[in-house]
Amino acid sequence: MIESILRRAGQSLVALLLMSCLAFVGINMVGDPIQLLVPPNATPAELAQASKELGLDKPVHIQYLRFLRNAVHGELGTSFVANRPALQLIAERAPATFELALTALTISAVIGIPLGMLCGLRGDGPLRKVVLAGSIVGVTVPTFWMSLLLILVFAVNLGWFPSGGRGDTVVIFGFATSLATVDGIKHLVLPAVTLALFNTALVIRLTEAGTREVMGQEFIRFARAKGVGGSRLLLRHVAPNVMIPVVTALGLEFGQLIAFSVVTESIFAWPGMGKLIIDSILQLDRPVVVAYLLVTLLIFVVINFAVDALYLVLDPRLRTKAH
Amino acid sequence: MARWIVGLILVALMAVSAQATDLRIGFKSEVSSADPHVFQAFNRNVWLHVYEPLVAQDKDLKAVPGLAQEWRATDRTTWVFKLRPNVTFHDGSPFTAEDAKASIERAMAMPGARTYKPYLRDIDAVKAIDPLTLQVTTKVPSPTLPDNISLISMLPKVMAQATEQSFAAGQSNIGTGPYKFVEFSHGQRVVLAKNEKYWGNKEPWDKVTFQFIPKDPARASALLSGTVDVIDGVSANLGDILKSNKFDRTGRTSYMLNFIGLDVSRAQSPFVLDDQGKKMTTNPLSNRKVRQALMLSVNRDLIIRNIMKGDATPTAQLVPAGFFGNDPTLTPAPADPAKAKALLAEAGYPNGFRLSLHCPNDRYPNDAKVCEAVGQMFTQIGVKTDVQTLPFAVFTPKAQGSATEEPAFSAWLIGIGAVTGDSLQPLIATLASFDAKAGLGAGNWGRYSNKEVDALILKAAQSMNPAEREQLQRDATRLAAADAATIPLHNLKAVWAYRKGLTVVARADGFTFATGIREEASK
Repeated sequence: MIESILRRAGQSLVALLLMSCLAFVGINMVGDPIQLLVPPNATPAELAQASKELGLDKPVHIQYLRFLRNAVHGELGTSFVANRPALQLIAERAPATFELALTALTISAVIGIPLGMLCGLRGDGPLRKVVLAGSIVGVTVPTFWMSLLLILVFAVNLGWFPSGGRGDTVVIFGFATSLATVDGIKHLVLPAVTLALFNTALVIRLTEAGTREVMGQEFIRFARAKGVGGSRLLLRHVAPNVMIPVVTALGLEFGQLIAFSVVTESIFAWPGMGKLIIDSILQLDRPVVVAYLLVTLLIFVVINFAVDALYLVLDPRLRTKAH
Repeated sequence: MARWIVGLILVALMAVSAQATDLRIGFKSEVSSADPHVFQAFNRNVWLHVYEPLVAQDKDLKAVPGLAQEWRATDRTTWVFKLRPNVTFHDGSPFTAEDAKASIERAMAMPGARTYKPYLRDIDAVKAIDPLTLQVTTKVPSPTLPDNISLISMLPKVMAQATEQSFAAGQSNIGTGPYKFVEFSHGQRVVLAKNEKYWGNKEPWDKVTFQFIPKDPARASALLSGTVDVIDGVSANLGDILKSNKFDRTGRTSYMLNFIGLDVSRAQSPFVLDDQGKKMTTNPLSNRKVRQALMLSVNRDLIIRNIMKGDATPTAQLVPAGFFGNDPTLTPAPADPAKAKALLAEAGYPNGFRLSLHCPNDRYPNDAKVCEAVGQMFTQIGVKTDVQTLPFAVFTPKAQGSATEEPAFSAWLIGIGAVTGDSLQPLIATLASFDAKAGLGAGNWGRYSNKEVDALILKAAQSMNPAEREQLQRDATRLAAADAATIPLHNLKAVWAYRKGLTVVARADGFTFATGIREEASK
């Protein structure tokens, strides 16, 4: 167990190093950010001076080594644009993104799992046909179009929800959350639904397929023969077996939601990390881009750990192996 | 009982009259920093509500009294500003010449790349003569100093050492402006509150929110759904959606010029080939007749009608009408392909040549489309043009070149804005001969060089007589236009949309000021 965790940690470190190198060199090749930062009437001397102050006058490998040295001390550089530590900017934006991703994930789990199981149990009824057809729509509709449609219907025509931005927030346990105010929740609904749509559809399909497969297996028939039925059969025998692939998918999707909800965030003007990364790429704000990619990678690593841990809870066989 | 009812009514009335009047602005740009001395055009837009400059700019970008009531040049290198008495900062302390001195010196000493230093490079020393008199001495005669000073916000002297961090944390945000700082949330919004003790007219808005909504459709839907009252950066593509009886729009020609730059000086140009696609031994773009032909091939009206949907004003010079240095006699010549072809033949290129036109595709409204149109117009007269579009962040470093590299392109589209409403800075940047040491021609990527133009610009830059200076700038502009040094296309329009019942002052810099937004007087 400890050995495998250590090996995992080692692999993650190598991945982080590779990613930092790729990101650093990659964004250096795109171009020089200095002209985007200074006033248009800056003279070449003023440009050179500004370049020097940001450390851009040194060759790439020197800049990279200096970056690594600072990274070891937990400093991932200072944003050129905001003039503040890149990590601080990301940390400022992270709660908004986490909140959105968690809400979307919860919606998709709460709706997707019961609906999927119901469809799986019912066989070929009309409910199954309707839900599965609906889930195809959910998987295929592009997010940006869905966002605009939701805005048009629920914000512009009906006026139920605001069209974008984040609402009032309350600080709980050091994190600003909009889940505690009515205004905050109103702002959260449309982007969360947009993001949840694809995942709900995915969860429905996975759960449905899983349920159908599990229902046909011997241990279920055996349990039935023993007289186990109803909710006990579903919760104790069917659900855990169905959940393993669903949890894997949800874990991966959570990472996706956090790292790449760029489109939804920019359409709804949601002040999360996705919007930060796009703005930073466009302005060639190298420290923020590199720090963001590293943080994202770290999040993926942590989520994978968590998913593995959940397996242990769900699958007793893995538990015995681990002991 | 009756007393109770009267009491209730009174309470209700008070509740109504005390109801806060909020103004919510859907803002295209995102404020990147809370420090007012950090250079970024639209940061300045927002922070001007909180911090005021000595010299303010009216809607046509003319200098008007701000925290200074008057100013004059006492000799060729000395400006004296008389400050407004009885002005206090939001913390109650009085505004004096010492604060002004500390603020200007802070802006001059800002670290990093995003500073106003290039506008303050003429300044030699700043001195507080008495509490209401500020003296600025310059290294060279600097006729545009008051305009440049208008970019610098006044802070209390005690904040001179404040860091960007402390501004971001809301600890140093003290100005003299009509609004007080309440909140800056990175990537989200800026919230301001009315300054009850403002020295000027009291504002009608209790709370002003700048909500950052960079995406055009998202900004439009925020207005449509009533989430915001006003949006800026309205593009004509959205026009039809907002054409209803619930919304109004207003717009005007802005300072932002889009023009085509040409590689006029090199013996051979990297993206020019002959009509057979082979390298050329000459650079046709160095021939004035060729450039005039290209200029004549461009149909500005067609571009503005079909691509810009009316959101631009055709031009043949650096600054729009009404700006200092605009020459009213210099108007764009109508497109004349036949004459353009004749000019090409006269220049020795009867079969034309091949050219690549490089453009940013994410910087100006419809930039890539405008380039494609220009490319087709060039092609019509025989200059077969291939249009290459790039993200601005990739485009600029190449187009500009560096200390070690020459500018990379042969023809390109770029914009320049006369931020202070005066053609002098754009003239120095784009038409003066490139001279890295003297700081001339920083935006002259085509390396156009005409001694007469240089002489006029340099004379203007040192002329303390406004009438003489304007004449010099007009002469320089006309000479460069006759040379077809660049091909000015159009000035972009700044357009706002807002709910009916409001009035919005349209400014030439595209800035949205809460002080310019009013509830229409009820009929």
